[in-house]
Amino acid sequence: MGDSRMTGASAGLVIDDLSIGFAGGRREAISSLSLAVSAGESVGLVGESGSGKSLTARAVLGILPPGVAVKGRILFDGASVLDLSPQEMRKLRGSGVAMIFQDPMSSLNPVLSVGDAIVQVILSHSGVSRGEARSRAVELMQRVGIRDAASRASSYPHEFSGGMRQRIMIAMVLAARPRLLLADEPTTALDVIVQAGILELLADLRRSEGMGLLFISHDLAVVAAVCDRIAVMYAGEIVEEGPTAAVLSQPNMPYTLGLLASTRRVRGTRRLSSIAGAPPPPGERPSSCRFAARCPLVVERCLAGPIPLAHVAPGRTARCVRAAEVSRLDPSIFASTEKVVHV
Amino acid sequence: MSSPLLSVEGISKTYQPGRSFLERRSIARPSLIDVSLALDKGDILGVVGESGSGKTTLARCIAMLEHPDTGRVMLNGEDLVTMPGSRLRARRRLIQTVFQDPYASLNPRLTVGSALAEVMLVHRLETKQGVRAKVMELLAQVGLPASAFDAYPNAFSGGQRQRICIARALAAQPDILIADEPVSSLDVSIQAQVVNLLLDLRDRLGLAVLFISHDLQLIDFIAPRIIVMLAGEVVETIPDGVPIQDAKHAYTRSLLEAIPSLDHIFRAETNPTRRETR
Ligand SMILES: Nc1ncnc2c1ncn2[C@@H]1O[C@H](COP(=O)(O)OP(=O)(O)O)[C@@H](O)[C@H]1O
Ligand code: SF4
Ligand SMILES: [Mg+2]
Repeated sequence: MGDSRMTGASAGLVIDDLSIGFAGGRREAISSLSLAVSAGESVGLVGESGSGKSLTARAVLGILPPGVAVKGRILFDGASVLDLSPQEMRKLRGSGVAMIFQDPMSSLNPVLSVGDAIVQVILSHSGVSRGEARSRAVELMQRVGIRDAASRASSYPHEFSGGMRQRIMIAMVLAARPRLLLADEPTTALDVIVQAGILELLADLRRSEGMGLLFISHDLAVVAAVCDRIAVMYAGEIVEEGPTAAVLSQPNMPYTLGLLASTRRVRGTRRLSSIAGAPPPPGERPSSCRFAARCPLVVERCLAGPIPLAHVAPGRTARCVRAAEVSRLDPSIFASTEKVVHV
Repeated sequence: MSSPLLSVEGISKTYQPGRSFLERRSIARPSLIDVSLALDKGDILGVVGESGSGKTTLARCIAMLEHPDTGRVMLNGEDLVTMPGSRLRARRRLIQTVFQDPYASLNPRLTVGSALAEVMLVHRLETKQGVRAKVMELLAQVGLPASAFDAYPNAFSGGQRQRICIARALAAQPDILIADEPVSSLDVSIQAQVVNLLLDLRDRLGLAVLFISHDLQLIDFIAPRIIVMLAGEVVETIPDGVPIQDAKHAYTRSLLEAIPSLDHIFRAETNPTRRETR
């Protein structure tokens, strides 16, 4: 069992100083990322597209694209994931670590009815009878919001809409009772009422089975509803981390404040607030604060060199030289960047 | 009073079941049932509802990409539904649509400049000589750099592609812009940029906008008037001045209740300094 320092206390996931690079390491997509998800805990990973959220999840599952350069360690229940043999990795993916992807088409077998597909998963992970597995499958389908689940169980994947296939995928993944679920924007494409049902199901599984959850989303309100802790990623780095409510109500990093500002829809104001510009892609990231080009608080100090992730309060870290000031600021410092044209 | 720019009167639409065995088994359910609405220059009308509620079918029927089974689509007092094809082609230019997926909506083999120029030339809005300058103007108007002219769509991010789609719609010089979930596939930070662009364009060009979204809070921000759709029907109309929080219909209320919100976090916030700055 892996590294002696990590055994015992570390039921769950520990990502330690992970870097992932493309093009022989010239384009570093993820830089020295550390993050932990204990059993039963739910951690939200947020940040704009391209910040490295999905790649982080893929690294945990051992499904990175070929040819990438990986540095650092990933431990699951003490075992070093990056050192597992292909067979051991497959076993881990079966019931230890599972992932819900944004694109549902990938993993549904077209010649198996969706009910049978879920039943197969249940049978391969528990000693229940076929009849018991069948009723569990129908219950799971109901809980992800498939109406008439008992009769729909005999339908095939192509008979469902894209949104329903996504829900069936979720049911199938959860049927394996994973100890850690990596959920990559699992409900983004779904309607709010269905979303609410699925979020509740995830919460139940955490409580009843101690399932750990790494929840990737761009929806801060959903993360606030689901996650104990939140980690904010920007341009391949974690820039802020801490208890969700504390981070979202008093952020210590301007980027977090900018994301919050973008979500505020204040009726009666003329424009939405937004973060001007776009994050720098791998290979074009500055050696200073990576957010500097978009930050309304940027000062000389920010440009001198890399900014370390520092402890700013109990259980909280932030990567910003002005962290202490940020929590006192109003999101309106991210004023609308579009020209307001008066008629 | 003259007739409104757009008046949709009781349109219904049922898609005919397909030929395949599986499709024939299902009974054709109407996608749109007796929907009416009006839109004037500079107006923004919001349309909310879950997927499958008929929002896209409504958009397609108004843009005459789909022929409604019954009802009228009156543009400047003329009914598009009964209009002969030759005249309809010219009128159709006045109603442009921007769809949810900016990746699927753009031809990957056409440079941005030629895609926009093509629209202007097809509709005879510009001459071959003048078109380049007009396209450059349009790129600037939607916040894209001049270098976009010679670039292909795959060089752009999702938010930039949506700007290209908006530019392409504007190239036809429409009176009405239908935005069908235009920001749903974009990051929140980018969503705000694109929404602000649409608001600017409405102000600058006097466009009438039909803004379709499943995001109730966004609709509430952008649209003074809102219609709520369920299973092809308009179940509630929320008039100007009434916040969506005060919606009355049970279905609208159930949608509102299902939305996770950050309000409790902001309310719990106690930092006095921040309250001062508000
Ligand atoms: N081309 C089509 N053929 C058959 N049915 C369709 C077609 N397009 C949409 N529908 C059906 O019409 C209903 C409304 O769909 P749509 O207008 O796409 O709603 P929304 O935009 O709210 O998702 C759905 O039941 C959908 O399955
Ligand atoms: S370090 Fe400076 S530039 Fe970076 S986020 Fe903080 S204030 Fe902004
Ligand atoms: Mg739609």
